[in-house]
Amino acid sequence: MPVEDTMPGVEALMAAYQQSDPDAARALVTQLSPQIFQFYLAQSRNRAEAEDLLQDFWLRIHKARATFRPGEPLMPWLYAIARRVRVDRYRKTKGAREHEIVTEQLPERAAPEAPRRNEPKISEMLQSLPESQREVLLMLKVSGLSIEEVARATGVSVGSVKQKAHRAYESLRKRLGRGK
Amino acid sequence: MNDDLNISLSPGEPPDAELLKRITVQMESAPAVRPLPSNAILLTISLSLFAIISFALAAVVKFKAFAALSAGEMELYYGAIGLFALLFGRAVVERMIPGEKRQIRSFVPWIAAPAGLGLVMGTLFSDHSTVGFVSSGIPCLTTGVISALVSGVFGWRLLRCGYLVNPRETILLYGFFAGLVGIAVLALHCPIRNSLHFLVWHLGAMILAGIAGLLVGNYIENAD
Repeated sequence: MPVEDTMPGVEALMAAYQQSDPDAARALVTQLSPQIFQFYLAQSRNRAEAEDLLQDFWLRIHKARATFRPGEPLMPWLYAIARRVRVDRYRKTKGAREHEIVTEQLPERAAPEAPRRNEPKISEMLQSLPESQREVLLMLKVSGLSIEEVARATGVSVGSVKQKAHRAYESLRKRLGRGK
Repeated sequence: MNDDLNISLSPGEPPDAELLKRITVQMESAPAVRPLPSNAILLTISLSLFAIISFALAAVVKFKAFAALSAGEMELYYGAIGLFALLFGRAVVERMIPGEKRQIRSFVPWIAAPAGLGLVMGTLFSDHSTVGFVSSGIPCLTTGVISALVSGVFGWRLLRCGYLVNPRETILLYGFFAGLVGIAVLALHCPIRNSLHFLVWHLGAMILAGIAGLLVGNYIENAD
C-alpha cells in the first residue's frame, strides 16, 4: 500500500511548516522519519550511519523548504533531497572507507530479519543489486512511491525507472530460483 | 515490468526517539518562508534578466550590429538566440526545484545551442575569409567572456534561490546560459559578417563559459 495512503495531508503539513507552524514540523518529523530512515538503513545497513543521514536530511529539508510548492506532490521533492544527502555522504566517506579496516563496524550492522514465507531475506538480497537499481526498488517497494514519483525524485525518465526496476526484479528472481 | 515477486519489506526498526526529539526541536523554531514562485514565473524572471543584461552590456559596447544586418537576418539571428535562451532557461529552472519533472535532458541545450547557432550563422554569413581573424576576434571573445561573467554573477542569486540536487549538471547548464548572454551581446554589437569569426570567437565565449560552469559545478558538488 503506498505510504501516502496511510498519511494523508503531508503536503498540507509541509505547507504549514513553511509558515512556521511548530505542530506541522513535529508531525512531519514523526510521520516521515520512519520511512526515510528505512530508505537509508536499507542502503547503509548501519544504524548509526542511517541516523546521521536522517539528521542531515532534516537539516537539508529545513534549508530547502522554500523550494517546496504547495499543491505539488511532496514525495518526489523529499526523496530527491534524501538521495542527495546519501550521495554527499557516500562521496565524503568514500575516501576514508578505502583506507579503513571496517571490522569495527561489523557489530553495528543491522541484524537481518528472519525470513517470512514470501520474504526470503529480501533485505539481504537487495544489497547485491547495483546501487541505482536498489535505490529505485526501495523507493517503489519500501517507500511506496509511484514510478512517476521515482522518476521525478531521481531526475530520470519514467522509462529509465521502469527499466531499472525490471532489471532489479529479474536479478532478484534469478536469486530466488524463479528464473525463466 | 514484471513485478510478480511480491516483494515487501517490513517496516523494520524505527529511528531513535531521542534523535527524533532533537530534530523536532530544531525544526519547530524555523521561521516562515515564502515558497518559490511557479516555473513559468522563474522562467520569465530568467529570460527578463537575460534580455536586460544583454541590452545593458551591448549598450556599453555600442549597438553596431544593427547597421550590418538586414531585418530578415536579425529575425533569424536574434530569434535563434531567443529560442536557445528559452531552452537553457527552462532546463536550469526545472533543476532548481528538487523532484521537479524534467522535460529537457541536460545534454540537449548545450549540444543543440552551439550546433543550431553554428548552422544559422553558417547559413546567414557566407564570408569565410580569415583576414584579421585573430585581431578582430580577440576583442569579441573578451567582450563575450566578460558579458558571460557579468550575467553569471547577476543570475547567481536567482539560481541559489533553488536547491540544486545536482550542482554539477545544473551549473554546467547555467554556465552555458551565461555564455549565451555573451553571444547575445556580441550579436547586438559585432558588425562582422563572417561565419568563421562567429564560430570561433562568439561561440568560443559560450564554450568557455560552459567550461567555467563545469569547474564551478564540480567545485560546489565536492564542497557541499
